[in-house]
Amino acid sequence: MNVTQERRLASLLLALVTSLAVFAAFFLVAGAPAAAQAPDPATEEEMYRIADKLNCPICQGQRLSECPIQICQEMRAEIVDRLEQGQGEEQIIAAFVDRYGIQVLNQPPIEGFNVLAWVMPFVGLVIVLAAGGWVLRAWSRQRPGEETVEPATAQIDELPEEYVRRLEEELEDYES
Amino acid sequence: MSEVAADRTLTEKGTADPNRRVLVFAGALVGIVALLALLAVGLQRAGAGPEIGQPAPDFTLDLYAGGEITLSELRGQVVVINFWASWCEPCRDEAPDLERVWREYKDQGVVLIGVDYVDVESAAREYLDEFNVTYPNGLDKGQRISHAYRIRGVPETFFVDKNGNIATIFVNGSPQPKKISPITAQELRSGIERLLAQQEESG
Repeated sequence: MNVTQERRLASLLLALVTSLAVFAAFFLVAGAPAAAQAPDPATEEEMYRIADKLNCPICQGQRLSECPIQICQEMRAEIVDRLEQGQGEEQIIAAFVDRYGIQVLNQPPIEGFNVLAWVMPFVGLVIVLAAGGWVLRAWSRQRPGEETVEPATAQIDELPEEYVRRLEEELEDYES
Repeated sequence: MSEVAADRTLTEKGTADPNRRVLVFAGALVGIVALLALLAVGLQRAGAGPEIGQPAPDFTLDLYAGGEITLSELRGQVVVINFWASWCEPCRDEAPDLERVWREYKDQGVVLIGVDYVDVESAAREYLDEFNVTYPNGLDKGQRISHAYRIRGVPETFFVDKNGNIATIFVNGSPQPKKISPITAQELRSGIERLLAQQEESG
């Protein structure tokens, strides 16, 4: 091996080491923001759990966890940011209620006026059942001073022959 | 009694007690129509925003730049209220015009207020930076202001005269209490000029 060959080998090695270093540096730099963009699976799962309790503030009746529009994507990203800052679920939900109003919760809290939302369906059911029962009882109850109303067939037996004949004729006409 | 009832049944060919039926039917119909009318009135009332000449609903807005602004404290000045959001594409069309006209009139007794409807703070701040917005802006927390003004979307723009009443905006020549699509610099200037020329009522 002569001097020129040694030099050539040295420069080749240098080039190799430099390109490897550049390569590694590139991956380190490029890798860092990529890691910051995608939250770790546990954080993402926690985010979706919280977003599932919230509504899209613009659309009607769509959960934040399922809403594809831009503002909802940004709101989900904000939940991730807040989780990464160490905020808890309660803190995050409170901040969202402050910003977007109580209607951002898909279940109203059971307190104050909102209790009505939980109680009224049952109150309504009780009222309907009570009214139905009352109507049924009123229908089945015999009116005072009145004979028991017999079913229609019983009444027909008491009718004059002429009426019964006409009724049967007309029923036949009707059926044919 | 039962015989009379049966008699009637037969003479009317099986239609039991027609008078009572008609009465029940009419009663139900009246009830349903009344309910529908109530619903229509309710819907109309819920959908109607502030009318021209009516007092503009008052509000206090926490500003992104810090501090707050209260509409009722701006009597004697012409106020332009613009509802926007960072995710709203048409808002981007009017943003440069709003800022331009604000700079033209801010020393002449004109206040422009940007009310941010449903937004993420970081995105809103980016938007304000992007368009170099210097007029007061803040998030409409809980959409209270948007609800009071019954906005149907963003952008929407209202003019408030020196007396704190909703002023007319001419949209293609027709007088409206608000502009629903992006407002132009020309519409802003002519609206502001007209309101600046008005006298403030004393008292």
